[in-house]
Amino acid sequence: MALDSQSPSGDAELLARYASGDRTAASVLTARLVPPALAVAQRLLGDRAEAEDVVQEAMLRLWRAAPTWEVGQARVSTWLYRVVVNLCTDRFRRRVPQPRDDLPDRPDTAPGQEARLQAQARAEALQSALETLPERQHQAVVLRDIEGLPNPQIAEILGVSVEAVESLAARGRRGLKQALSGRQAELGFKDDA
Amino acid sequence: MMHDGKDSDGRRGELGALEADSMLEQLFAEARATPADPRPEFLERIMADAAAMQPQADVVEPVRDRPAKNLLRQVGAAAARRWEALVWPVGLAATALSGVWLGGWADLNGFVSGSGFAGSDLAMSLAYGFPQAAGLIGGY
Repeated sequence: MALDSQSPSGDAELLARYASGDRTAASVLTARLVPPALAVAQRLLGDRAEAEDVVQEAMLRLWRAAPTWEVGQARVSTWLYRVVVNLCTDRFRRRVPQPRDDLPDRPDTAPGQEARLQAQARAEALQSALETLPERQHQAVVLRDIEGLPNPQIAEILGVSVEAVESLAARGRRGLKQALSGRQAELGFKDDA
Repeated sequence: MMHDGKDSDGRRGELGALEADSMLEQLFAEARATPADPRPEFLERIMADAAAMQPQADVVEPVRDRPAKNLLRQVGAAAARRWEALVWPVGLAATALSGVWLGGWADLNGFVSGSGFAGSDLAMSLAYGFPQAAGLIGGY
């Protein structure tokens, strides 16, 4: 679920309450902001531990910014997404590419196991395809097609125009289709030649 | 036949594009349906940071058993928070010192007792300058 689906003004009020010493405000904000931020970080980095580090750092910056946060300066969610995306970019540029692990062999053929394996294979295929995209296209597709954010908010997060977001997302989708071409049968989609 | 072949290729291409679109939409939908589900220990780290970074709330001072033992420290602490807290003790001290100084001056000039005043320099000066007033001063 995207951060944006929660009340933006509610987030700012919670942040103000946190800054004034309300201890429960932090837990409410964490419950609201962390899961979608973590989802984005995982999609951008493809690594859960790294994604957790990024989101923790982003939240730490949010706690620091709370006392001087000005209502109306930006949506809290947009601000947090922007920090997460920038931190992911920094990490992505620094790290050495690692080969992705193949799916482990699982001889278990219990009912439901095949469906779970296929779902996992699809998720990994999407993630692998996402990682073949140029950085900005990757970010635009994750924020728009998976997180479901509106283009103006994505433009604010990425610091580009709305038209640029549309272009990045369209090119990203084309890139994904190309990366996934020929894998329809393997991933259990019908009508594959 | 060439046309048929081209049409056939075109239809296959369109079909392939539709299938690719459909597959992509399906993959996106499945990704959206999979929540990030943060681990409890990760959330605890976030909350620990929040607690460490949180500005202190207005804390109610606990009731002390010996409230008057360290008045100076309380005044100092209050002054650290608000300088206005220093006004009344400083004013009180200044008033007391002024009283002591004026009292000494009055004693030296004979304002504390009549006989003392009669022997003071001030009384002599008054008697010399204003002989009419000498009768009002005892001893002249």
